[in-house]
Amino acid sequence: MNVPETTNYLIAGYAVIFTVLGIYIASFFIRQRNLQQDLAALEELEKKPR
Amino acid sequence: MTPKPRLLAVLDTVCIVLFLIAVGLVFFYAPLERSMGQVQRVFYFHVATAWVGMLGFMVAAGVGVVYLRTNHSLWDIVGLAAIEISLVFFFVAIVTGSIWARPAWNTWWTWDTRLTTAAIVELIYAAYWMLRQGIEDAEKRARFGAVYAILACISVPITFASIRLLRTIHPVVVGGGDPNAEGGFSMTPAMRVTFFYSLIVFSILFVDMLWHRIRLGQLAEKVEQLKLKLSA
Amino acid sequence: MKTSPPPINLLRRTFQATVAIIWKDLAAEMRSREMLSAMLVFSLLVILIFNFALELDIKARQTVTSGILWATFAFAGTLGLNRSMAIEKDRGCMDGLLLAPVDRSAIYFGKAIGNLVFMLVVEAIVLPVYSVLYNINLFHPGLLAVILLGSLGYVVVGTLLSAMAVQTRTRDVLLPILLFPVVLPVLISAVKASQGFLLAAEWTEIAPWFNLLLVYDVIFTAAAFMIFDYVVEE
Repeated sequence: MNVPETTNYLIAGYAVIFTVLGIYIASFFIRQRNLQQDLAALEELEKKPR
Repeated sequence: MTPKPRLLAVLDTVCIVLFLIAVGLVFFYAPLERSMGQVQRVFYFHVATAWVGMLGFMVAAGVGVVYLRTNHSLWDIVGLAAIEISLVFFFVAIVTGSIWARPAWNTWWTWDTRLTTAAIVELIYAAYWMLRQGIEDAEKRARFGAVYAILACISVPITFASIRLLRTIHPVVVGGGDPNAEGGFSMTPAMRVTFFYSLIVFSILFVDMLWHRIRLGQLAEKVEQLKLKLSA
Repeated sequence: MKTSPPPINLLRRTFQATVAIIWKDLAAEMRSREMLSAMLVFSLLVILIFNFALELDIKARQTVTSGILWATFAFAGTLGLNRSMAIEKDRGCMDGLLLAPVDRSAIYFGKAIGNLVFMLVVEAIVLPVYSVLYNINLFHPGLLAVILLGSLGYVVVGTLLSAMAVQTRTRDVLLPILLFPVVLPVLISAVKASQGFLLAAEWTEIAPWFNLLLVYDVIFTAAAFMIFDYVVEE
């Protein structure tokens, strides 16, 4: 029996998995950096005399 | 943000290694399945990501109950983290399921029990997120999030049961629920190893990502509190 | 030393408060009839749309009627739920109710039963209209029971979620998004059970759906009753 040629779908499937997970994990780094910048800025403001 | 705990750093490394091994198993160890060809390999990560997708609302409901009783914001952070992670993983599961279905059963979507329930749970996650988006006050946001997570968690098993009941009376012609039984492939031992290994790796990955996401949430909370304090 | 009132007094007070809330809503609605007319007109419009959306021959109508009815009730229901809570919030009634020395559950049951009454009124009008328009007899006691149980399940969850939705920025829009995924078992069971009764199926076929509806109603009434406090606390 001939094995159907479905490699393309395999590639598509794993492309989705790695891309989406990759973007999501990258978002952790990006969000962390943004929040740390915000925190630094806010702490600066806090130090200033009111 | 507090510096990364030693244990988390270790966990990160462990995760990466285990994940790479899983990929290796999927592509090189698991045998080629004859009826579907190469695309069958998608199945291993498809089920694993779906499993992580299911964890979200269960964790969120559990910590939701704890939050309502203790009012400690950490539990809210955990709940949000769990749902966000599961939202992403379930999305991957649904899309890979669709990609697998196309060559296997010649359709992009089947209204079988599991896939339909997955779509509904994904919508619930989206609804949870939209609910939180619409609330300014942090405490109210946490409270409502917990309430919705609990209600959703109770409803999902009942939804699953009713859809399954629907399918047994009107069986779906194309596509089925159980990836093991349907599509006609039974698992050889090598496949089984890859399958369970993937499940375990993704579970550990969930814990690792949850921890990271919780830390992120704590940082966000600190920023928000500082903002409120300074604008007061 | 202050002792708490005996339980029977507390129960009676809660019951009286519940009835008072129901009465308040019914009386207010009787005067203005805004909500009922909106729900009614909306329902009829939905049925009209379905008429054109699905070209139904007589045979197809038999199987599809239950679906159309429940889709209509689900959509019209959100109108009623939204309005009912919005009234409380906008006129500040909610704060007044919360300050009153009654158990919060009275507020929940009062609103829920009020919502149920409105929904049943709308259904009571839609059913005969649909019967006439499509020449189908809908006055089957089994069907009426399903409509009662289904509406109950819908309203039990809907009241709780609308209490949350009304406190958000997006308000009305959010309620269907929150409600529909959670209330799906009610819709599925109600449609199948209604269909069963309309097609005169065997009770053994209808029973699982009917039971599922009952189970859902019981579980969620209990859950909502326990959770409502957390939704309205200030």
